[in-house]
Amino acid sequence: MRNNLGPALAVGALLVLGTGLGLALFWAPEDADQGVSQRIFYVHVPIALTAYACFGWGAWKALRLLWTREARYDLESYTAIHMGTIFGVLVLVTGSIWAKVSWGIWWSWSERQLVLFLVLFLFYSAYFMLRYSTDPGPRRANMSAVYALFGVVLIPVSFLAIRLAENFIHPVVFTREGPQMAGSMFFAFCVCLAGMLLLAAALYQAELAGKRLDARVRELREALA
Amino acid sequence: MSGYLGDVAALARTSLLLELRQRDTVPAMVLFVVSALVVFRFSLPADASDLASLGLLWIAIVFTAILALTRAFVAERDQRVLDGLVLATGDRSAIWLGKVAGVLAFLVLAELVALPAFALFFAAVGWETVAAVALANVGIAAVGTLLAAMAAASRARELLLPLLFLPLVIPVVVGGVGASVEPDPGRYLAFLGLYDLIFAILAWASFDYVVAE
Amino acid sequence: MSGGEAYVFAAYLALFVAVLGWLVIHAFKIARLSRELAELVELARRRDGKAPAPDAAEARVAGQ
Repeated sequence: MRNNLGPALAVGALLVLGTGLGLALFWAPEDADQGVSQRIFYVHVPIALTAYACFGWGAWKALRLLWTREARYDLESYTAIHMGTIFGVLVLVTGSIWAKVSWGIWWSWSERQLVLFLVLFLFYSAYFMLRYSTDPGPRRANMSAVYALFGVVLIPVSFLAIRLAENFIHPVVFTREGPQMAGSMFFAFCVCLAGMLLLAAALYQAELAGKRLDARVRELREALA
Repeated sequence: MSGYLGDVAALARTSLLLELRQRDTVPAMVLFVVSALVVFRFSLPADASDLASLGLLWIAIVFTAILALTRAFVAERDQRVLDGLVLATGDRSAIWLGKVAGVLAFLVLAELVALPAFALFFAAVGWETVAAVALANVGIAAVGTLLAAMAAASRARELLLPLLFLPLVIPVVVGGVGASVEPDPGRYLAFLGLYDLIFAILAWASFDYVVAE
Repeated sequence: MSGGEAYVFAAYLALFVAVLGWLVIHAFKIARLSRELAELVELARRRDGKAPAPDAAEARVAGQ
Protein backbone atom coordinates (compact mmCIF):
# COMPACT_ATOMS: atom_id res chain seq x y z
CA MET A 1 0.00 0.00 0.00
CA ARG A 2 2.69 2.45 1.07
CA ASN A 3 4.83 1.61 -1.93
CA ASN A 4 2.04 2.56 -4.31
CA LEU A 5 1.59 6.01 -2.80
CA GLY A 6 4.44 7.68 -4.71
CA PRO A 7 3.47 6.49 -8.20
CA ALA A 8 -0.22 7.21 -7.50
CA LEU A 9 0.61 10.76 -6.46
CA ALA A 10 2.81 11.24 -9.53
CA VAL A 11 0.07 10.03 -11.88
CA GLY A 12 -2.47 12.22 -10.08
CA ALA A 13 -0.18 15.24 -10.36
CA LEU A 14 0.37 14.61 -14.05
CA LEU A 15 -3.36 14.36 -14.78
CA VAL A 16 -4.65 17.13 -12.51
CA LEU A 17 -1.86 19.65 -13.06
CA GLY A 18 -1.87 18.96 -16.81
CA THR A 19 -5.63 19.57 -16.92
CA GLY A 20 -5.34 22.63 -14.69
CA LEU A 21 -2.62 24.32 -16.74
CA GLY A 22 -4.56 23.51 -19.92
CA LEU A 23 -7.71 25.07 -18.46
CA ALA A 24 -5.74 28.10 -17.26
CA LEU A 25 -4.09 28.73 -20.61
CA PHE A 26 -6.85 27.89 -23.09
CA TRP A 27 -10.21 27.69 -21.35
CA ALA A 28 -10.37 30.40 -18.69
CA PRO A 29 -11.54 33.76 -20.08
CA GLU A 30 -9.02 36.54 -20.52
CA ASP A 31 -9.00 39.07 -17.70
CA ALA A 32 -10.62 42.35 -18.76
CA ASP A 33 -8.08 44.57 -16.95
CA GLN A 34 -4.77 42.75 -17.12
CA GLY A 35 -5.23 40.81 -20.32
CA VAL A 36 -3.12 37.75 -20.97
CA SER A 37 -0.62 38.46 -18.16
CA GLN A 38 -3.27 37.59 -15.59
CA ARG A 39 -2.76 33.95 -16.56
CA ILE A 40 0.46 33.95 -14.50
CA PHE A 41 -1.89 34.00 -11.51
CA TYR A 42 -2.79 30.34 -12.16
CA VAL A 43 0.77 29.21 -11.49
CA HIS A 44 2.04 31.91 -9.12
CA VAL A 45 -0.67 31.71 -6.44
CA PRO A 46 -0.98 27.87 -6.36
CA ILE A 47 2.82 27.63 -6.08
CA ALA A 48 2.78 30.08 -3.16
CA LEU A 49 0.01 28.19 -1.35
CA THR A 50 1.85 24.92 -1.99
CA ALA A 51 5.03 26.38 -0.51
CA TYR A 52 3.11 27.36 2.63
CA ALA A 53 1.65 23.86 2.77
CA CYS A 54 5.16 22.34 2.55
CA PHE A 55 6.49 24.57 5.32
CA GLY A 56 3.44 23.74 7.44
CA TRP A 57 3.89 20.01 6.76
CA GLY A 58 7.56 20.29 7.72
CA ALA A 59 6.64 22.04 10.96
CA TRP A 60 4.00 19.40 11.71
CA LYS A 61 6.60 16.64 11.26
CA ALA A 62 8.98 18.67 13.45
CA LEU A 63 6.34 18.84 16.16
CA ARG A 64 5.84 15.07 15.88
CA LEU A 65 9.60 14.60 16.25
CA LEU A 66 9.76 16.66 19.45
CA TRP A 67 6.65 14.91 20.73
CA THR A 68 7.49 11.28 20.00
CA ARG A 69 11.31 11.48 19.56
CA GLU A 70 11.06 9.10 16.62
CA ALA A 71 14.06 9.70 14.39
CA ARG A 72 12.21 9.18 11.09
CA TYR A 73 10.33 12.46 11.49
CA ASP A 74 13.62 14.37 11.14
CA LEU A 75 14.08 13.27 7.55
CA GLU A 76 10.40 13.88 6.76
CA SER A 77 10.50 17.39 8.18
CA TYR A 78 13.73 18.14 6.31
CA THR A 79 12.32 16.84 3.02
CA ALA A 80 9.14 18.91 3.39
CA ILE A 81 11.17 22.06 4.01
CA HIS A 82 13.43 21.19 1.09
CA MET A 83 10.36 21.03 -1.17
CA GLY A 84 8.96 24.21 0.38
CA THR A 85 12.17 26.05 -0.42
CA ILE A 86 12.10 24.90 -4.06
CA PHE A 87 8.50 26.12 -4.39
CA GLY A 88 9.47 29.30 -2.52
CA VAL A 89 12.14 30.09 -5.11
CA LEU A 90 9.54 29.49 -7.82
CA VAL A 91 7.22 31.98 -6.09
CA LEU A 92 10.00 34.57 -6.27
CA VAL A 93 10.67 33.81 -9.95
CA THR A 94 7.04 33.79 -11.12
CA GLY A 95 6.14 36.78 -8.93
CA SER A 96 9.07 38.71 -10.32
CA ILE A 97 7.97 37.92 -13.87
CA TRP A 98 4.45 39.07 -13.03
CA ALA A 99 5.74 42.31 -11.52
CA LYS A 100 7.76 42.91 -14.69
CA VAL A 101 4.83 42.37 -17.04
CA SER A 102 2.36 44.33 -14.87
CA TRP A 103 4.46 47.28 -13.77
CA GLY A 104 7.64 47.08 -15.81
CA ILE A 105 9.90 46.37 -12.82
CA TRP A 106 11.37 43.08 -11.69
CA TRP A 107 10.97 43.75 -7.98
CA SER A 108 8.44 45.73 -5.96
CA TRP A 109 8.58 46.17 -2.21
CA SER A 110 4.87 46.87 -2.26
CA GLU A 111 4.10 43.28 -3.28
CA ARG A 112 3.56 41.64 0.10
CA GLN A 113 3.71 38.06 -1.02
CA LEU A 114 7.05 38.57 -2.76
CA VAL A 115 8.61 40.34 0.21
CA LEU A 116 7.35 37.66 2.59
CA PHE A 117 8.82 34.93 0.42
CA LEU A 118 12.14 36.74 0.29
CA VAL A 119 12.21 36.74 4.12
CA LEU A 120 11.19 33.07 4.21
CA PHE A 121 13.81 32.21 1.60
CA LEU A 122 16.53 33.75 3.77
CA PHE A 123 15.13 32.04 6.86
CA TYR A 124 14.99 28.56 5.32
CA SER A 125 18.36 28.97 3.61
CA ALA A 126 19.75 29.42 7.13
CA TYR A 127 17.94 26.16 8.03
CA PHE A 128 20.09 24.34 5.47
CA MET A 129 23.22 26.06 6.79
CA LEU A 130 22.28 24.89 10.29
CA ARG A 131 21.83 21.31 9.13
CA TYR A 132 25.00 21.17 7.08
CA SER A 133 27.21 22.62 9.80
CA THR A 134 25.96 20.38 12.61
CA ASP A 135 26.93 16.75 13.15
CA PRO A 136 24.06 14.32 12.46
CA GLY A 137 22.34 12.95 15.51
CA PRO A 138 19.42 13.55 17.85
CA ARG A 139 20.62 17.02 18.77
CA ARG A 140 20.69 18.17 15.16
CA ALA A 141 17.23 16.67 14.68
CA ASN A 142 15.92 18.59 17.68
CA MET A 143 17.51 21.88 16.65
CA SER A 144 16.21 21.57 13.08
CA ALA A 145 12.75 20.79 14.41
CA VAL A 146 12.75 23.82 16.72
CA TYR A 147 13.92 26.02 13.86
CA ALA A 148 11.20 24.62 11.57
CA LEU A 149 8.59 25.45 14.21
CA PHE A 150 9.95 28.99 14.44
CA GLY A 151 9.40 29.18 10.68
CA VAL A 152 5.66 28.63 10.75
CA VAL A 153 5.32 31.17 13.55
CA LEU A 154 7.47 33.62 11.59
CA ILE A 155 5.16 33.43 8.54
CA PRO A 156 2.16 35.27 10.11
CA VAL A 157 4.39 37.55 12.20
CA SER A 158 6.37 38.60 9.12
CA PHE A 159 3.19 39.07 7.13
CA LEU A 160 1.93 41.46 9.80
CA ALA A 161 5.31 43.20 9.89
CA ILE A 162 5.33 43.67 6.10
CA ARG A 163 1.84 45.18 6.23
CA LEU A 164 2.97 47.56 8.96
CA ALA A 165 6.17 48.43 7.08
CA GLU A 166 4.23 49.50 3.99
CA ASN A 167 3.34 52.71 5.81
CA PHE A 168 6.92 53.92 5.88
CA ILE A 169 8.86 51.87 3.34
CA HIS A 170 6.82 51.93 0.21
CA PRO A 171 3.20 53.00 0.04
CA VAL A 172 1.07 50.61 -1.98
CA VAL A 173 0.53 52.09 -5.39
CA PHE A 174 -0.07 48.96 -7.34
CA THR A 175 -2.70 46.48 -6.39
CA ARG A 176 -4.01 43.45 -8.14
CA GLU A 177 -7.37 43.69 -6.45
CA GLY A 178 -9.40 43.86 -9.59
CA PRO A 179 -13.02 42.86 -10.05
CA GLN A 180 -14.02 39.52 -8.62
CA MET A 181 -12.87 36.43 -10.47
CA ALA A 182 -15.33 34.84 -12.84
CA GLY A 183 -16.56 31.39 -11.84
CA SER A 184 -14.63 29.67 -14.62
CA MET A 185 -11.43 31.44 -13.56
CA PHE A 186 -11.91 30.25 -10.02
CA PHE A 187 -12.50 26.69 -11.21
CA ALA A 188 -9.30 26.69 -13.26
CA PHE A 189 -7.45 28.11 -10.27
CA CYS A 190 -8.75 25.34 -7.98
CA VAL A 191 -7.70 22.62 -10.43
CA CYS A 192 -4.25 24.19 -10.70
CA LEU A 193 -3.98 24.37 -6.91
CA ALA A 194 -4.96 20.70 -6.50
CA GLY A 195 -2.49 19.71 -9.22
CA MET A 196 0.30 21.74 -7.64
CA LEU A 197 -0.33 20.16 -4.23
CA LEU A 198 -0.24 16.71 -5.84
CA LEU A 199 3.00 17.60 -7.63
CA ALA A 200 4.54 18.70 -4.33
CA ALA A 201 3.34 15.51 -2.63
CA ALA A 202 4.78 13.34 -5.43
CA LEU A 203 8.12 15.18 -5.33
CA TYR A 204 8.10 14.89 -1.55
CA GLN A 205 7.61 11.12 -1.71
CA ALA A 206 10.33 10.67 -4.32
CA GLU A 207 12.77 12.93 -2.50
CA LEU A 208 12.02 11.21 0.80
CA ALA A 209 12.63 7.79 -0.77
CA GLY A 210 15.94 9.06 -2.13
CA LYS A 211 17.03 10.53 1.21
CA ARG A 212 16.03 7.32 3.04
CA LEU A 213 17.99 5.21 0.57
CA ASP A 214 20.96 7.50 1.07
CA ALA A 215 20.74 7.04 4.84
CA ARG A 216 20.38 3.25 4.50
CA VAL A 217 23.41 3.01 2.21
CA ARG A 218 25.42 5.02 4.72
CA GLU A 219 24.27 2.67 7.51
CA LEU A 220 25.24 -0.32 5.40
CA ARG A 221 28.66 1.16 4.75
CA GLU A 222 29.19 1.67 8.48
CA ALA A 223 27.97 -1.85 9.24
CA LEU A 224 30.40 -3.34 6.69
CA ALA A 225 33.36 -1.15 7.54
CA MET B 1 7.78 27.16 41.40
CA SER B 2 9.94 29.01 43.91
CA GLY B 3 12.58 26.37 43.28
CA TYR B 4 12.39 27.16 39.56
CA LEU B 5 12.65 30.89 40.20
CA GLY B 6 15.56 30.21 42.53
CA ASP B 7 17.32 28.28 39.77
CA VAL B 8 16.71 31.10 37.33
CA ALA B 9 18.06 33.73 39.71
CA ALA B 10 21.14 31.64 40.47
CA LEU B 11 21.81 30.90 36.81
CA ALA B 12 21.30 34.50 35.75
CA ARG B 13 23.76 35.57 38.42
CA THR B 14 26.29 32.92 37.36
CA SER B 15 25.92 33.88 33.72
CA LEU B 16 26.38 37.58 34.40
CA LEU B 17 29.36 36.98 36.69
CA LEU B 18 31.02 34.75 34.12
CA GLU B 19 30.59 37.41 31.47
CA LEU B 20 31.73 40.22 33.73
CA ARG B 21 34.81 38.22 34.61
CA GLN B 22 35.70 38.30 30.95
CA ARG B 23 35.54 42.08 31.26
CA ASP B 24 35.82 42.65 27.54
CA THR B 25 32.24 42.14 26.33
CA VAL B 26 30.63 45.37 27.52
CA PRO B 27 33.47 47.68 26.48
CA ALA B 28 33.61 45.90 23.12
CA MET B 29 29.88 46.36 22.57
CA VAL B 30 29.99 50.03 23.55
CA LEU B 31 32.98 50.71 21.33
CA PHE B 32 31.34 48.79 18.47
CA VAL B 33 28.04 50.65 18.63
CA VAL B 34 29.72 54.07 18.81
CA SER B 35 32.06 53.20 15.91
CA ALA B 36 29.08 51.97 13.91
CA LEU B 37 27.26 55.26 14.51
CA VAL B 38 30.32 57.21 13.37
CA VAL B 39 30.58 55.08 10.22
CA PHE B 40 26.87 55.65 9.56
CA ARG B 41 27.40 59.41 9.91
CA PHE B 42 29.84 59.27 7.00
CA SER B 43 27.58 57.01 4.95
CA LEU B 44 24.68 59.48 5.01
CA PRO B 45 24.54 62.43 2.63
CA ALA B 46 24.51 65.83 4.32
CA ASP B 47 20.86 66.52 3.54
CA ALA B 48 19.61 63.12 4.73
CA SER B 49 16.61 63.33 7.01
CA ASP B 50 16.56 62.40 10.70
CA LEU B 51 14.20 59.59 9.72
CA ALA B 52 16.94 57.89 7.73
CA SER B 53 19.34 58.13 10.66
CA LEU B 54 16.73 56.59 12.99
CA GLY B 55 16.69 53.60 10.66
CA LEU B 56 20.47 53.34 11.00
CA LEU B 57 20.16 53.42 14.80
CA TRP B 58 18.17 50.18 14.56
CA ILE B 59 20.81 48.57 12.37
CA ALA B 60 23.43 49.51 14.96
CA ILE B 61 21.33 47.97 17.74
CA VAL B 62 20.75 44.70 15.88
CA PHE B 63 24.43 44.28 15.00
CA THR B 64 25.53 45.11 18.53
CA ALA B 65 23.10 42.46 19.74
CA ILE B 66 24.76 39.91 17.44
CA LEU B 67 28.06 40.79 19.06
CA ALA B 68 26.62 40.13 22.52
CA LEU B 69 24.93 36.91 21.41
CA THR B 70 28.05 35.37 19.88
CA ARG B 71 29.67 35.84 23.29
CA ALA B 72 26.71 34.41 25.22
CA PHE B 73 27.82 30.77 25.06
CA VAL B 74 31.58 31.23 24.73
CA ALA B 75 32.35 30.58 28.39
CA GLU B 76 30.22 27.44 28.41
CA ARG B 77 31.74 26.13 25.24
CA ASP B 78 35.32 26.72 26.29
CA GLN B 79 34.97 25.37 29.79
CA ARG B 80 32.24 22.81 29.16
CA VAL B 81 30.13 24.58 31.78
CA LEU B 82 26.94 24.09 29.82
CA ASP B 83 27.13 20.30 30.07
CA GLY B 84 27.44 20.61 33.83
CA LEU B 85 24.60 23.11 34.03
CA VAL B 86 22.39 20.87 31.91
CA LEU B 87 23.12 17.94 34.17
CA ALA B 88 22.71 19.88 37.40
CA THR B 89 19.51 21.79 36.67
CA GLY B 90 16.15 20.13 36.87
CA ASP B 91 14.54 22.37 34.29
CA ARG B 92 16.78 23.45 31.44
CA SER B 93 14.60 26.39 30.50
CA ALA B 94 15.99 28.03 33.65
CA ILE B 95 19.33 28.17 31.80
CA TRP B 96 17.61 29.97 28.95
CA LEU B 97 15.99 32.50 31.27
CA GLY B 98 19.28 33.11 33.03
CA LYS B 99 21.07 33.64 29.72
CA VAL B 100 18.33 35.96 28.48
CA ALA B 101 18.69 38.05 31.62
CA GLY B 102 22.44 38.25 31.02
CA VAL B 103 22.12 39.24 27.35
CA LEU B 104 19.43 41.76 28.26
CA ALA B 105 21.73 43.38 30.82
CA PHE B 106 24.51 43.76 28.23
CA LEU B 107 22.14 45.19 25.64
CA VAL B 108 20.83 47.76 28.12
CA LEU B 109 24.37 48.74 29.12
CA ALA B 110 25.38 49.20 25.47
CA GLU B 111 22.23 51.19 24.71
CA LEU B 112 22.77 53.47 27.71
CA VAL B 113 25.78 54.69 25.74
CA ALA B 114 24.38 54.28 22.24
CA LEU B 115 21.19 56.32 22.63
CA PRO B 116 22.87 59.44 24.08
CA ALA B 117 25.61 59.08 21.46
CA PHE B 118 22.96 58.92 18.75
CA ALA B 119 21.25 62.01 20.18
CA LEU B 120 24.60 63.80 20.17
CA PHE B 121 25.64 62.82 16.63
CA PHE B 122 22.31 62.71 14.81
CA ALA B 123 18.96 63.70 16.24
CA ALA B 124 17.02 63.77 19.47
CA VAL B 125 15.61 60.45 20.64
CA GLY B 126 11.92 60.53 21.55
CA TRP B 127 10.18 58.51 24.25
CA GLU B 128 8.71 56.22 21.63
CA THR B 129 12.16 55.19 20.40
CA VAL B 130 13.25 54.43 23.97
CA ALA B 131 10.08 52.38 24.57
CA ALA B 132 10.60 50.52 21.27
CA VAL B 133 14.24 49.79 22.15
CA ALA B 134 13.18 48.42 25.54
CA LEU B 135 10.55 46.16 23.95
CA ALA B 136 12.89 45.09 21.13
CA ASN B 137 15.58 44.10 23.66
CA VAL B 138 13.28 41.46 25.11
CA GLY B 139 12.53 39.89 21.73
CA ILE B 140 16.16 40.08 20.59
CA ALA B 141 17.42 38.48 23.80
CA ALA B 142 14.72 35.78 23.85
CA VAL B 143 15.15 34.66 20.23
CA GLY B 144 18.86 35.39 20.06
CA THR B 145 19.76 33.29 23.10
CA LEU B 146 18.04 30.24 21.65
CA LEU B 147 19.70 30.72 18.27
CA ALA B 148 23.07 31.35 19.92
CA ALA B 149 22.73 28.00 21.69
CA MET B 150 22.06 26.37 18.29
CA ALA B 151 24.97 28.14 16.65
CA ALA B 152 27.28 27.18 19.52
CA ALA B 153 26.42 23.51 18.90
CA SER B 154 27.31 23.73 15.22
CA ARG B 155 30.70 23.73 13.54
CA ALA B 156 30.16 27.11 11.90
CA ARG B 157 29.39 28.92 15.21
CA GLU B 158 30.01 32.67 14.79
CA LEU B 159 29.35 32.39 11.08
CA LEU B 160 25.95 30.78 11.56
CA LEU B 161 24.41 33.04 14.20
CA PRO B 162 23.78 36.13 12.02
CA LEU B 163 22.29 33.92 9.29
CA LEU B 164 19.84 32.37 11.74
CA PHE B 165 19.19 35.61 13.58
CA LEU B 166 18.68 38.29 10.92
CA PRO B 167 15.59 36.85 9.15
CA LEU B 168 13.94 36.40 12.54
CA VAL B 169 14.59 39.99 13.68
CA ILE B 170 13.21 41.63 10.55
CA PRO B 171 9.83 42.05 12.34
CA VAL B 172 11.64 43.64 15.30
CA VAL B 173 13.34 46.13 13.00
CA VAL B 174 10.02 46.90 11.32
CA GLY B 175 8.33 47.50 14.68
CA GLY B 176 11.24 49.53 16.02
CA VAL B 177 11.70 51.75 12.99
CA GLY B 178 7.94 52.20 12.67
CA ALA B 179 7.64 53.28 16.29
CA SER B 180 10.54 55.70 15.83
CA VAL B 181 9.45 57.39 12.61
CA GLU B 182 5.68 57.11 12.38
CA PRO B 183 3.38 59.74 13.91
CA ASP B 184 1.31 57.04 15.60
CA PRO B 185 3.77 54.69 17.39
CA GLY B 186 1.11 52.80 19.39
CA ARG B 187 0.48 49.99 16.91
CA TYR B 188 4.19 49.42 16.33
CA LEU B 189 4.86 49.20 20.06
CA ALA B 190 1.93 46.78 20.36
CA PHE B 191 3.41 44.73 17.52
CA LEU B 192 6.78 44.59 19.31
CA GLY B 193 5.00 43.47 22.48
CA LEU B 194 3.19 40.75 20.53
CA TYR B 195 6.48 39.58 18.98
CA ASP B 196 8.11 39.43 22.43
CA LEU B 197 5.23 37.42 23.84
CA ILE B 198 5.02 34.88 21.01
CA PHE B 199 8.72 34.27 20.56
CA ALA B 200 9.57 34.35 24.26
CA ILE B 201 7.05 31.58 24.94
CA LEU B 202 8.26 29.59 21.92
CA ALA B 203 11.94 29.96 22.81
CA TRP B 204 11.32 29.20 26.48
CA ALA B 205 9.39 26.03 25.59
CA SER B 206 11.90 24.79 23.02
CA PHE B 207 15.25 25.55 24.67
CA ASP B 208 15.14 22.19 26.43
CA TYR B 209 15.31 20.40 23.07
CA VAL B 210 18.16 22.53 21.77
CA VAL B 211 20.62 21.88 24.61
CA ALA B 212 19.61 18.27 25.34
CA GLU B 213 21.95 15.65 23.93
CA MET C 1 3.91 36.17 -29.57
CA SER C 2 3.13 39.45 -27.84
CA GLY C 3 5.18 40.77 -24.90
CA GLY C 4 2.57 39.70 -22.39
CA GLU C 5 2.37 36.21 -23.82
CA ALA C 6 6.13 35.83 -23.66
CA TYR C 7 6.10 36.61 -19.93
CA VAL C 8 3.23 34.20 -19.28
CA PHE C 9 5.19 31.56 -21.18
CA ALA C 10 8.27 32.35 -19.06
CA ALA C 11 6.32 31.90 -15.82
CA TYR C 12 4.97 28.49 -16.88
CA LEU C 13 8.40 27.56 -18.17
CA ALA C 14 9.92 28.34 -14.76
CA LEU C 15 7.77 25.63 -13.17
CA PHE C 16 8.75 23.15 -15.87
CA VAL C 17 12.45 23.95 -15.54
CA ALA C 18 12.29 23.61 -11.75
CA VAL C 19 10.79 20.13 -11.98
CA LEU C 20 13.35 19.15 -14.63
CA GLY C 21 16.16 20.52 -12.49
CA TRP C 22 14.95 18.43 -9.58
CA LEU C 23 14.83 15.41 -11.91
CA VAL C 24 18.44 15.94 -12.99
CA ILE C 25 19.63 16.16 -9.38
CA HIS C 26 17.58 13.10 -8.47
CA ALA C 27 18.99 11.14 -11.42
CA PHE C 28 22.53 11.94 -10.29
CA LYS C 29 21.65 10.87 -6.76
CA ILE C 30 20.23 7.54 -7.92
CA ALA C 31 23.29 6.93 -10.09
CA ARG C 32 25.55 7.60 -7.13
CA LEU C 33 23.49 5.37 -4.84
CA SER C 34 23.49 2.45 -7.23
CA ARG C 35 27.25 2.84 -7.69
CA GLU C 36 27.76 2.83 -3.92
CA LEU C 37 25.46 -0.15 -3.50
CA ALA C 38 27.37 -2.14 -6.11
CA GLU C 39 30.57 -1.30 -4.26
CA LEU C 40 29.05 -2.41 -0.97
CA VAL C 41 27.74 -5.67 -2.45
CA GLU C 42 31.23 -6.43 -3.66
CA LEU C 43 32.62 -5.60 -0.24
CA ALA C 44 30.08 -7.89 1.45
CA ARG C 45 30.91 -10.74 -0.93
CA ARG C 46 34.62 -10.37 -0.29
CA ARG C 47 33.86 -10.43 3.44
CA ASP C 48 32.13 -13.77 3.06
CA GLY C 49 35.33 -15.17 1.64
CA LYS C 50 33.88 -15.70 -1.79
CA ALA C 51 35.65 -14.53 -4.87
CA PRO C 52 34.68 -11.01 -5.91
CA ALA C 53 32.08 -11.25 -8.62
CA PRO C 54 31.60 -7.77 -10.04
CA ASP C 55 29.57 -9.11 -12.95
CA ALA C 56 27.06 -10.74 -10.65
CA ALA C 57 26.79 -7.61 -8.53
CA GLU C 58 26.28 -5.54 -11.64
CA ALA C 59 23.60 -7.91 -12.88
CA ARG C 60 21.85 -7.74 -9.54
CA VAL C 61 21.78 -3.99 -9.46
CA ALA C 62 20.69 -3.82 -13.07
CA GLY C 63 17.94 -6.34 -12.44
CA GLN C 64 16.38 -4.29 -9.67
